[in-house]
This record gives sequence, C-alpha cells and structure tokens, in this order.
Amino acid sequence: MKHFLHCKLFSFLSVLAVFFLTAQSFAFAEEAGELQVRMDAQVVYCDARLNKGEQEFLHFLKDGIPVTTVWKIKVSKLREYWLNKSVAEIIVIHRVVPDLLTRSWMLIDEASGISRRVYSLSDVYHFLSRLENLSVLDRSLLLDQAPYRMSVSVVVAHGEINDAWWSKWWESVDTELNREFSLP
Amino acid sequence: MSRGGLMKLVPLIMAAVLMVITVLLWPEKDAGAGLLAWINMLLMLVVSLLLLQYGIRLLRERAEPAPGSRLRAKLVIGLVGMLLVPTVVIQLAANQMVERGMDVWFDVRVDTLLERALSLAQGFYERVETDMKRGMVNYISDATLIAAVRGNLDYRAVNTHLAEIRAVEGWQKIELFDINERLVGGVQEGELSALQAAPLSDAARLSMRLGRVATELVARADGEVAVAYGPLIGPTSVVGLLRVEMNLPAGMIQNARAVESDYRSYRELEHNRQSIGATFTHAMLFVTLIVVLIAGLVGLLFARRLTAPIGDLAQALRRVTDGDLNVVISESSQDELGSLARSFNEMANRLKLNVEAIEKAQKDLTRALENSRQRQYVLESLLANLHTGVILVDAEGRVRLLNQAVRDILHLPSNWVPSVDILQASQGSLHDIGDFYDELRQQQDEHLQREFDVDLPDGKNVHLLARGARLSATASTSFSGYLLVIDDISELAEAQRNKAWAEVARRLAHEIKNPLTPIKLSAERLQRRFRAQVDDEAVFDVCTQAIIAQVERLQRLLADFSTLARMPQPKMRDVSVDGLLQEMAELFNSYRRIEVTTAEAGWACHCDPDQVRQVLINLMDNALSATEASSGKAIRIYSRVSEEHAEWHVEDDGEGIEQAAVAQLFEAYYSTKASGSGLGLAIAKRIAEDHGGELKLISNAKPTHFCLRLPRQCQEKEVS
Repeated sequence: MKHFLHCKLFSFLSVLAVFFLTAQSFAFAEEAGELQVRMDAQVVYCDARLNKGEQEFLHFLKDGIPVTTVWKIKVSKLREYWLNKSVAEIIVIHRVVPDLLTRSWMLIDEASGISRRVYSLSDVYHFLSRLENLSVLDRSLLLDQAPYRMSVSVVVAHGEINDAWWSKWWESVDTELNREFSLP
Repeated sequence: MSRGGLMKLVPLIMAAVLMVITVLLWPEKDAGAGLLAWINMLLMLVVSLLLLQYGIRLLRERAEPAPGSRLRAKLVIGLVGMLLVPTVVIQLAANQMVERGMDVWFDVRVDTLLERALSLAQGFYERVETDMKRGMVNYISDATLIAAVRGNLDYRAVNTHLAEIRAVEGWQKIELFDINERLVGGVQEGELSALQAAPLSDAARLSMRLGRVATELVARADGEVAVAYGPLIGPTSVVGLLRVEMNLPAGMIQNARAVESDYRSYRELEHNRQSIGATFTHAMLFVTLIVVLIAGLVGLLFARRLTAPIGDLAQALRRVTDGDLNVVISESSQDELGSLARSFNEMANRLKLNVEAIEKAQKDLTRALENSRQRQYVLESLLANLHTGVILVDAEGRVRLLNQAVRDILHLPSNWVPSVDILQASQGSLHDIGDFYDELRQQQDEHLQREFDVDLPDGKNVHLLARGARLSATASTSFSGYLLVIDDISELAEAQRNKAWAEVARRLAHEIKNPLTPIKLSAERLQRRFRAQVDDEAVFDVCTQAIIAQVERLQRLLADFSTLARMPQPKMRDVSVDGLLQEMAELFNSYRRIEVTTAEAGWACHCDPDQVRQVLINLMDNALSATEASSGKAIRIYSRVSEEHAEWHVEDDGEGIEQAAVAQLFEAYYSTKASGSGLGLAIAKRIAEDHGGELKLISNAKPTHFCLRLPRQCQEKEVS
C-alpha cells in the first residue's frame, strides 16, 4: 500500500511537472516568435519570425563575432495513440559574418551557399530573425484532412560553429515554434 | 548522538555537500562549459548517489558490520579527505589565478589598443573609399563619358579617354556602362583579365538608380579590391555608370585584416570570458573528481588489502570467542600483519592444546568425581544402613561424620552435627562416649574396645560396645583422626544372659529334678504311713504338706526352667486370630471383669497356636493378678489385623508397673510378684521373637497395655 501511494504520488508529481512544463513551453512559444504555414497547390511553405531584439544580435555583431541562426523545421503527422510520425525535416542555417573594416555584414545562407554583403543592420536582423516563404515539402506527401504539426526550433549560435558530431548533444534550443495544420 | 552515530552521518553529509556543489556548479545555458561540465555533473551526481546509498545503508544497518569495514571506510575517507583538501585548495588557487590572468588579459589598455588598431584599419578603408568617391565625383558629369554612353563616341576614343582618366587617378581598372548596363568601354592596368565585363552588383545598380557615388569592397582570390560606382548624370537623368576598381595594397590589407581578426578573436574571447572561466573551473573540477575517484579507488583497494587480514583476524577472534578453536588465518604477508597472523595462529593452537588438556583433565576429574561420588554414595548407604553407629572424628576432635544408627542408639541431641566438638558435646549421659574418645586419644595403641552402659534421656539403659581406631594420614589421604564404632549390644547381652540362665536352669533341673520326685514320694509316704503314729498330726500334716508343696513348687520351677532353656520349635500353621480370642473368652469365662472384643472374622495368622495361646494366657494371668481388687471391665483383650501383622492387645486398669521395672520387665527371673518365677514374660517374649514378632509394653499404667505383634506370614526359624 505504501509503495502504491508512493507510485501515485510520483505519478501525480510527474503529471504536474509535465503540465507545468508544457504550459511554460506554450507561453514561451507564444512570446518567442511566430510561425505561419502556407501552402499553394504544390508546396507547403513556412514563414517564421523570432521576436528577438536587434540588440541581441548586435551585441555580438558589433564586436565582429559571427552570429548564426540554425532553423530546424520538422513536419510530423499527429497521431493520437502513438508518437507523431516525422514527414519532413530540413535545416536552414543563416550566418552573418561582420566585416569590421568596411562596416558591412556578409549574409551567408549555408544551405544554398549564397552570400551577400549588406551595409544595413536591418537587413542583418531581417536575415537572422526571419524565414520567409521557405519551401518545406511537397504537398503531395501530405494526406487530406490529416492533422500535421510543423515545428521550428531555432538555435542561435555565436562565433564559429562547432561542426563536431558530439556538439549537438548539449545543443540548447533558443526558441521552438509549433503550428498545427492540415490540408484544406 | 554517539560518535558512531555521527560517523554514520558522514557519507550523507558528504553527499549533501556534493549535491549542493553540483547544484551550484550546474552549467548555465550560455556558460559554454561544454561536455566537460556535463561529465563533471554526471561524476558528481554518481559520487553523490553512491555516498547517499552508502549512507542510507549505514543508517539502516542494524547488525554488526563486517569486521574491518569501519576501518576500511575510515581509511578511504581519510585518504580521500587528505587528497580532497589540497586538491580543492589548488583548484581555488588556480581559479583565482585564472581570474587574475583574465583580468590582465582583458585589460582596458589592451581593449583600447585593439580599438585604436581597428580604427586605423577602418580609417584606411574609409580613406580609400573617400578618395575614390572624390575622384569619381569629378567624372559624373564628364561630357566625353556622357557622349560615349549615348553612343556618340567610338570605342577607341572612349577607351583612350578612359585610359587617360585611369592614368590621372591611378585606378587599376575603369569600365563604362550605359543605362542599360551594357559595357561601353573599359581599360585596365596591364592586360585585360576578361573580354566580358562582370555584371553590375546591387550596389552599382543602387548607385545608378539613386544617382549617388557608391563604393564597395570586393574580395577576390588575388586580394581585395575597392570598387567605386559613379553615375553619369546627363541633363535630366542618369545616363550611364562608371565603375572603377583599385587594388588595395596587399601588405596593408593583410595587416588590416590581421587587426580585424585579432580584434574579433579578442572580442569573442571577451564574450566567452565567463565560459572560459567555467571551462577552466570544470577542467580543474574534472581533474579533482578524477583524482578523488582514483584516490578513493586506490584507497579502497589499499584499505581492502590492509583490512582484509584485520577482518580475517577479527572474524577468527569472533570464532574463537564462540568456541571454535580450529581457526587458521592466512600468513601470506611478510609484514607486521603477517607476524600478527602467525602469532594469532600460534595463540589459537596453544589455546586449543590447553583447552584439550583442560577438557581431558576435566574428564578425568569428572570421572574421579563420579567415582568419588559413587564411593561416597556407597559409604553413605553403608553407613545409613548400618545398625552399628559410626562416628568419625578429626584430629582436632571435631565430628566429621556420624550416621543415623549412632543417633538412634544414643538418642543424640540436635547439637550433634558434623563439626561439633565431641568432648564438648559428650555431656550428661553421653560422657562415656567422650571418655572413650579421650581414652582412645590418650592411649598409645591404635585400637580400643570398651563396653559400658549408657542411660538414655528416655530412661532406657543401653549396653554399648564401643570400638575405636586411630586413623593416620597416608599417602593417599591427609586425613587423620579417630573412628568410633558403637554397637548396641543390649539384646545380645540379654540373650547371653538368658542363655546363661538357661544353662543354669538346665543344669539345675538336671541336678535337682531327679531327687525331687523321691522327696515328694517320700513325703507323701511319710504322710500316709506315719501320720497315725505321730503325736501331733496337725504339725505333721503341715510339715509334710509343706514338703510336698515346696517340692511341687520346685518341680514347676524346674519345668519353667526347662521350658526357658529348651523352648520347643513352633509348629506353624494358619490360625484364626479371632479364634484365639474366642478361646481366651471361653477360658476366662468365669471372670466378669474381662471384656473380649473380636475383630473381623476371617483373618488368619501363621503361627503356633499353642505358644501364642501360652503368651495370651500369661498376659491374662498377669492382668487378672493386677486387677483382683478392681470392678467392672478392668481387662480388655482385643485384636488388630493388618495386611502384614496380627496384634493381640491386653489392657488392664490395675496398679500398673513402676517405671524402674519397665526396663527389666522381660528379663528372666525378674518378677514383681512374690510367688512369680520371673519367667512368664521372658518366655512370652521368647515365643514372640521365635515367631518373628515382638511383645511390647505399650504403656506401663492406666491402662497397663501389652501388645503381641506377629507377622501374618512368618517364616519358621530355628530355635537357637
């Protein structure tokens, strides 16, 4: 009986903790950014925005420290009695390398390899904090009326990126945005 | 709380402290301590949990811990503590040094120096751009160039003009584009790198759109190039674009970039200052934890190696305490512990031998004690069953042993107990015992024998035969003293006396019996023949009658003597007890003062009825003699029968028997009556004894009560 009570208490505390953390994460998600899922006849797009201030990036950029935002977009099919099924997962890396000599910033899209030099901080902020019209997956991969969730987790890194395989073990996600959708 | 209880809390306290340290050092999100921090956390958590588990186990442990475990724990804690303190001190000192080092590293002067260096580098670039912009401004309204972009000038003339401009301004490359971004002309220092011009960049288009001079920096494989864009402004609008390039000096650029790189590194380090400190802290902590863990493990191994023999020794001691002496512990090590183990083994072996010797001695002693007890039991049984009194007196005159027989014979008072002084105790009627002991002690001979009479407190006189022996110490025993053996020979003396009297009677009867008959016959003859011849017949009759009467008396006396001297052997048969009483009632029917009470009919006794009848008649005669003057039922005769005995009781209410005569009542020739021979009760007692029974005087007066008690199943015995 005592053991049973201990189990019940433990379960109650676990549920309470999960509820608290979930509520915290939703509140956090609401404040941390916005995520919009759009789709046309063939492609599902996403628009994401981080609600981070310029100063958070400028703090590093003004000292010439590169700032990188790693956007991990994941689309999964919601299931009621089982873990959600992953449908698609893409990673977009936006990297800004400051050029202190010319007071310009090199915007680098690591996924495509395209880079450009800008002289405006708003461009930098826009580049780092937003994903616009990003093609995520082919619409044909999705089922009609089935619920899906698009999750965007953003990691903001400063300085050089550690490409070691074990560096992701303790990678901390700054922001996580979720949006449920289904095909109309 | 006891010291042991406090010691049990040490692991828990250490676990709590370690957990607090773990919480305090928990890596923050942006601390950047990396994998090392988490390894440290993991290590500390593992160590904390191990300590916690060990502490809880210690607290819950009720039984005595394994031998040596406490010592092992103390050794480990001591070793770890001994290493932990300097390690922590070193870590704290190193942290301080790192903090100070970083303070020096990130000094304001360094910061200012780098700022200034970067400003210089930036100033170089700004100067180049400014110069290029200033030079470009001179050509945005150049008529030749405007004409060229409008197509009013041939290609050669355009290039010639551009070459002149390049030469004047010192630019490395000049290209002229019309409003449609078509290359109109271009010159370059040295050879042309490409026939096709590179497309206009965003900056160039922006410059053309806004009508403003703009510059940008382009990094190429061969170095950095400053590019300036100058819109050619016609009368109303921008009509073309002049793009010029100037290669930046490699050395200068290299230095400027180096300054930028250093500045960036410096700032990055400055931003990561906290994480650097954390990394160092965690590195040191990792080393500390590793050292502590290794020290703990080494300490544990060392402690186990050290305490294992001690544990074995403690275990062996516990077994020895429990009585198991077959204990041998390992003597493998050659150090002090090995020597201790050897000593313990020797001790245990010696102890075992001693215990075996003690057990053997104990067995011998037990056996001897058992024998002694048996002997003592035999002796005590012997003494208890002896009818001979035994008194053992030690050399100091104290009674060491006396049996029940001597108490019964002498009617010893209660103060006669072992350890009583025999001389002091032998007072009053027992003085003869003391005198006998004193004589034995004083004399030179080893043995002494005496006969004497002792008057007992109840008035009875016993004739004793006392024999004494001196006991001297021998090799087997150190006891010395005196052994007194006392026999009540009253009955023996009486029997001897009776025997002597019987012999006398037999001889007297033999000598006297024969002449009596002729005397009696002669007297009767004289009476018959000469009565008529004598003068005085009366006197004659008296005299002759007296002769005859006395002769008859002598004949009866001789008959009694004969009876006493040679009692006939009883002719045993079963006789009714009540039948004998009935016979007595019929025989003495004429006496009204006799009351006969019969018991239950059917009881029989194996006896000689003639002799028993003789005894009862004798008792009745005595009772009648004693109650001649009495009236009423002064004589009562009755019987009592049990499974073993038959009793005939005769009571009378006569004068009774004097107390002084009681002792001699059953002796031959003792009579209180003038005409009695003194043989009646003696013969009666002899008959009773011949039947294996007894004749007793129950009470000597009021009433005078005799009891003949015979066994119902009596064995015939030879008449002595």
